[in-house]
Amino acid sequence: MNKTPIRVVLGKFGLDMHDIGVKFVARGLREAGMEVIYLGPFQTADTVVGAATTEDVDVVAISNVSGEYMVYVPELLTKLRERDLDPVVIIGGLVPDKDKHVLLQLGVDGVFGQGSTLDSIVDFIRNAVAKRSAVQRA
Amino acid sequence: MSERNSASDVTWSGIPLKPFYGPSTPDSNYESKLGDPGVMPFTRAGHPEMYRKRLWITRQLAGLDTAAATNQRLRYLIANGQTGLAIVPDTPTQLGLDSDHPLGARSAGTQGVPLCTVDDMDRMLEGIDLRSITASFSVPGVSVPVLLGQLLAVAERRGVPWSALRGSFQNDPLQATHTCYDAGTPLELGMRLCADTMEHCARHVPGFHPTTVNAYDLRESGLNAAEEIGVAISMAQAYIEETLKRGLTIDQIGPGILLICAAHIDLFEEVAKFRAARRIWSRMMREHFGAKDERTCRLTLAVHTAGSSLFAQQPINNVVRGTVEAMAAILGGCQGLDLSAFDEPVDLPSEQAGMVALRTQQILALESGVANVVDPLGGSWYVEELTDEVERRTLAVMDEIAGLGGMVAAAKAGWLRRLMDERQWALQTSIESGERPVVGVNCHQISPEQDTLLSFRGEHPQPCKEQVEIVERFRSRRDAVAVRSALSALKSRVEAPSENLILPIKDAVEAGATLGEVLGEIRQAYGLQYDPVGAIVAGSTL
Repeated sequence: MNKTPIRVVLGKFGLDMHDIGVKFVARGLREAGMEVIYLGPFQTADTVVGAATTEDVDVVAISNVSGEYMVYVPELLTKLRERDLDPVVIIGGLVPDKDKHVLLQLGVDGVFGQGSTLDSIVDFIRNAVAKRSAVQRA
Repeated sequence: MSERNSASDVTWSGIPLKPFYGPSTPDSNYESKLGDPGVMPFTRAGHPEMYRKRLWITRQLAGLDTAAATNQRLRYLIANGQTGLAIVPDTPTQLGLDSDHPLGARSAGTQGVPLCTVDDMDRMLEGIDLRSITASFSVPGVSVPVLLGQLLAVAERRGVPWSALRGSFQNDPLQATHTCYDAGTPLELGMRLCADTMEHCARHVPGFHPTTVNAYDLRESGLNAAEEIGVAISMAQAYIEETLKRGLTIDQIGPGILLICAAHIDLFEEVAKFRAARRIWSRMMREHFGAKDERTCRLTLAVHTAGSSLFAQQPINNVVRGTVEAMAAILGGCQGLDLSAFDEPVDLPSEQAGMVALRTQQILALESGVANVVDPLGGSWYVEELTDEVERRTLAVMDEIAGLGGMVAAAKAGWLRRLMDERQWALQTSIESGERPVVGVNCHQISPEQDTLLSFRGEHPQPCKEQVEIVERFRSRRDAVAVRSALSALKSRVEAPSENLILPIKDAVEAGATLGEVLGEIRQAYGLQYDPVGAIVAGSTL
């Protein structure tokens, strides 16, 4: 049983400014006992990977309303691999089905689109982090 | 919208209707608290005949890809009878970045129109008579004074006097600073640019509404009805006080300020809110600011139905929610109305949903009879009591803000941010827990497999590469020496805190400076980094 809290870095890519949903998720993850490093909007793949490295996180979570994630997410995944980082990566917000399939194929672990509940995000993170650390221990 | 006809002067069964109804012998209580429609304190309505004379204004937001593409769209709307243009600049423009900025290029033209240069503004308005239309720009933050400069320059190019221009900006830095639209601009600078814009318009562009305080986004951030208008009116107060320092009178400034509110799902509370807002506004203008002109005291309300009241589950039900909310706006006497698209929580708004939104308004206006009589709920014991209570709570919010030293001080102290976060958390958790019933979401649900009445296949728009080339071409053709000299003239005016920056900004954009360069120059003169997101350095585009 892993007693240290799950650490999550959370932010928004590019110039997408809609931050009501992401702030709600940030608080929800904290209330669920996770440690959240909230970067806010105006992030790039570099700033998120930088934070993921220095903060040694289990999860990288990106929220979006505009379509900019389709440019930034592939960059994020590449840069994480370059640094040998393997956090759980989740994307949330306004994600059309077409993009959802592309993101999952690229290697994103979970996509939480419109109508997702906080509970479903918390459960997914707990399970995915537990699986990931079981794999890393093995 | 197709105008109403004589059918609206009677009920469906032929009962003749008066323009409004009221007490047979009005007492002093009626006159001081309500007044007839169009009479101080305007609780009942801003105008005596309201929709009998003119229906509310319906506007469809426009802004996509490039100035040229947006021009096509605007001309189509004008050809179809629209007299008011509602222009949405794209995200980089909102934040004061050019389309060829490294981050800007990734979203140029996707959520609005890019307006980086005076040529962009000119191209967007090509073939459109600036004397006969009103142009409303949905932009709250730092780019407002630059867009105004571009617009003034375009008017001069065409020989249109500034006094003939009609339209509006949001110009709402206190709002921008709470919704990331300020891109890290300090409030002092935001307030200065806001007051510069208001002063310049009051003196030289009197037909323009330089400020539209955005109560809508406050409500979307979780605030309740009284907090929505209490905070918004306190923001308006802050802008007025800042602009009064420029030696203008309240009657020069007041008529230039509008309010855009949300219409949420609680029908009667929303009606009460709109009525209370008009009463509070008129009394504030007359008693606090000493306004003499009735136009200053008469609050003009634009309303947008609440996007946050719509849900992804069984999305067709959102049409019903939008109808109730639009009805609240009409019963509450709004002058402008837009509906959130019913598919907005599921996907990117579709054209069909836009059509349903327009038809909803037309059915309410022409069939339902709700617009036939001014303030039809006036005199209802329930609605009058609710209006008084919303007013009491709004005034309590405004007193709390005043106690903190006004809205600017309250914002700096983080008061509003904390309030928004608390309210949003409480609201969302009450929905997730089922404490607040939402049909299809936490009660009367169906399984996702059954939820198939509508299927959506939306796509995010792609960033516009053509626009990036347009800006690069613009840069290569301009006179760089003239740009540098205009920017350095601007810089020296920024350093003198009492100077109004609108004219030097206009000179700079005329000389060929871009939006990002003008704001970068201003930011540097304030000791800030040139690029708010830190991706480029000063001089790299010149």
